[in-house]
Amino acid sequence: MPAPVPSPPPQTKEAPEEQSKGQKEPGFLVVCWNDPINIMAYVTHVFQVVFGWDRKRAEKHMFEVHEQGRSVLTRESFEKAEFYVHQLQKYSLQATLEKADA
Amino acid sequence: MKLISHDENRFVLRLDKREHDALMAVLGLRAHLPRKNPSLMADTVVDPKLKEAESDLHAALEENRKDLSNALARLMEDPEKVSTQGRGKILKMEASELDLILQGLNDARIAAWESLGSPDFDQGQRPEVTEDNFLGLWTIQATDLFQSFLLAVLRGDPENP
Repeated sequence: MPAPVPSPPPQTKEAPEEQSKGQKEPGFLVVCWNDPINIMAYVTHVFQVVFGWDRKRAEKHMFEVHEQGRSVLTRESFEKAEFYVHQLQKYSLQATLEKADA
Repeated sequence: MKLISHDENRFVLRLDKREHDALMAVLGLRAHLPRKNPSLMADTVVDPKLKEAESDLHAALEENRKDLSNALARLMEDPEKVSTQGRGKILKMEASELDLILQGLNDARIAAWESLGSPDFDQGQRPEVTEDNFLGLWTIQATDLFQSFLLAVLRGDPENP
């Protein structure tokens, strides 16, 4: 059964503060946090819609959120990470981005 | 609520009058339940550029919320999508349209939860029912039922919401 299709992420563009460093690798993590209100099956559904993942992969991350308090969903350029955070927050999930260590 | 039939991407659902009234009431409540602005980063944002990105995010989410309201109103008033059958309603929806309804229900659910002071249900925080919080608690219960059913329909298992 097909999941609804989200709009595609933007083309990679480095965050302003990254441009001068000439950094080529994506350096931002998209993190989803546990909360006591979102239904687990809904979280799985949102991961499938936003990232186009199959149910198994989406459930793996949902359980990580539920059991460990957070799950790193993807590592991207600033612009793509911001896009995904926006998409997840549009669905009312608690998502943030953070700079990757390396 | 019952799934009457479905194929790859089209779902026919039946709601009795009470269920349809409750669904419309929950979706209508969104207009009266403000949402808090989420953060872009877990830590306090100090970088001015990221502050600007966070501000843009808040504006985009506000716009998304308005667009969602308009899309839901169009969908639920479309006679091709929602028709009367006896005392109930027949909904003929695609997966993306069920996703839209789920978004609306969850928006109402989170707004209701925030209006209650974001209690940690996992830690046993259960507010006493009062005149002031009754609507918020009812919204959380009602959205639970509708969302669980629609999610079960989407994953092809409507007998086990």
